[in-house]
Amino acid sequence: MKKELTIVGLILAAGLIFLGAGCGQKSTENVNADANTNAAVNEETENVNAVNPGVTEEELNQLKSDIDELEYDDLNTLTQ
Amino acid sequence: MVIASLLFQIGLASALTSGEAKQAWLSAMQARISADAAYKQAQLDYAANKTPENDQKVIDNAKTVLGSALNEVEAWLNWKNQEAKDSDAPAELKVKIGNDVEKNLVKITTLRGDVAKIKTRVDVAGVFLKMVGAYVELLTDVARNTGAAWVYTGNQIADKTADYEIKLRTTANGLVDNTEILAKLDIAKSQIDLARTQINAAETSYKLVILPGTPLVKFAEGNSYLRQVRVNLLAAAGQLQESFNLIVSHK
Repeated sequence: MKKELTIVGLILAAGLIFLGAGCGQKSTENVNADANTNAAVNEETENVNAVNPGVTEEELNQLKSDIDELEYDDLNTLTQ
Repeated sequence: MVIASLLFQIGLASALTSGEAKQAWLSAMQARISADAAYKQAQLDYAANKTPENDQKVIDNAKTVLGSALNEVEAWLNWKNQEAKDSDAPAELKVKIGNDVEKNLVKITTLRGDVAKIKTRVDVAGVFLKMVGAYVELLTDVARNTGAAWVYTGNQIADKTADYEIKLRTTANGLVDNTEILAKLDIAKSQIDLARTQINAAETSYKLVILPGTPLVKFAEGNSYLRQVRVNLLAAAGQLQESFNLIVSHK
């Protein structure tokens, strides 16, 4: 009888450990999810606050590159 | 026969890409350089031994080198034509360039006939002088068209620079403490205005690339204006970049 109780006790203890681990895991996920949500909210807030210049940096870089490429050769080099 | 040959040449040229047409011109140039070396050797042989055979060798080699020079010019024209077709130049300018190229290809065909008729050294000199004149004419046409294409591109880029300046100014006007940004945009605008003045001056010069006249001088003059345009637009773009940086870091 005592042996049977010990086995039942061990099974219960194992069950509790598994449950505890499950709860712990869930808790970590929740923390990560909360952190991600906060980061997204912060980013959105920053985007709302940032000034849109009306021109992108890529467009300005392309413009400079287009101007850089302008070359005007005289006739002696045109025929070389 | 002449027209059929011309149509074939134009058809062949239009099948090439700009890069292939340039390569064809470089090959033709190499062939002309080789023919020129053979002609000079024939002249040395004749100077050492003035026989009727050596005299005929000089004439035959002269005909070959003149024919090679015509091949080279024709390949160069085809390349310039293809280059214009591949560019973003307006359709009417492309048509004009195409017409000028065809006009000069007809001249080349006529000159080929003149070369074929050469029998004496005097004939060689006469055809050579005729070819030099034709070459100046075709260079003038190509230079004038090239200048027109460059003016078009210059205007396009000046328009884009002005458009960005207006957009940044609109944003800056909505900001508090925008004095520094507006000062930079003012500099950019004055550089764009200077560029536009220089582009107009270049266009006037390129329109004077004609014969009779001083086409080479006018072409170089137009180029000089456009080089200044490049400096002005780079300065404007630098100011736009600095304005952009100030706007995005504005609190």
